[in-house]
Amino acid sequence: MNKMTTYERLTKVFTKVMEDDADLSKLAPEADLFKDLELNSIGLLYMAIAIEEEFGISFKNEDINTFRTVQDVVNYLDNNK
Amino acid sequence: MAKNKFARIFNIKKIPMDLGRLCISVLPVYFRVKKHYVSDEAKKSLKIDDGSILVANHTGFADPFKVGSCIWHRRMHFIAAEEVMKKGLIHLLLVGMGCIKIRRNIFDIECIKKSVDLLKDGYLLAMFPQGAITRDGSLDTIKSGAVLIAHQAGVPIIPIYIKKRQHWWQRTQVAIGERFYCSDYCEKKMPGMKDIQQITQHLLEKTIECKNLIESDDE
Repeated sequence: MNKMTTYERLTKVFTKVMEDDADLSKLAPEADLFKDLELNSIGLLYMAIAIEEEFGISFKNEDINTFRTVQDVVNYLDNNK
Repeated sequence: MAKNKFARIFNIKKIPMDLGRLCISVLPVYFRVKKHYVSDEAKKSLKIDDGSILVANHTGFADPFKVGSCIWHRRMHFIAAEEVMKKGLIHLLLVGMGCIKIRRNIFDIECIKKSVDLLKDGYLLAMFPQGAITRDGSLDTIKSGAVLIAHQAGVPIIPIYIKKRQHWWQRTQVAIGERFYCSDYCEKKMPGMKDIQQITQHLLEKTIECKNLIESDDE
């Protein structure tokens, strides 16, 4: 049975939240959340809430304020399973 | 779901807030709040037993008291900027009164989650989503935080417009709009960012409707 990787699950969350607002073909691991995905403050907060629901985790302020790229989020999720 | 009503009526942790509410209950004498309703349906907006977000424009530091005066009989929490909630006595007073601190220079997810928990527990939350005081009462844009919190908590939003009085002896005019749920405008369990922005636009339009009501009544 194929298990989705963290990156694939994260892409699913981004797709649900962003819909057609961002060019999701640019969702490379090195993509900048603010410049490439054009997230604003509410966008990032909403994304964080959606990630919490998908992965069953709870972010603190100091966690999400270090996120700059998609890979930062993937690394955090992999380290906090 | 809201906790049982008795727990909400008497709560030893809420004594400072209840004392504050007693003080606020006399403020209508000073502010002489005159409530206007955009419709008959809007009169039901303030008759709520459970959690709800009251969203108002921000014209001055007294706005929380004006909003609180509208429903002084219910416990109400406020979101206040970190700069306002300085350390010391002011901090203690505001925390005791139920203020939730929001740090505007970071992505404050803890404030969002605390607000959602309070609403799910059946309390009221007042927010001023313009993000800053606009003394002329203009309503150009509002931020989407209130919509995000309302959607997460599953509670209605009540739009309110506060008209800044020109002279201290004048009555404070407050217009109250019809409450609505985010699900009224987006049936998806997880709306996208575009949906959140559209609901925010709708909230702005409802608040402008409240503003127009007061201004037309003045004429």
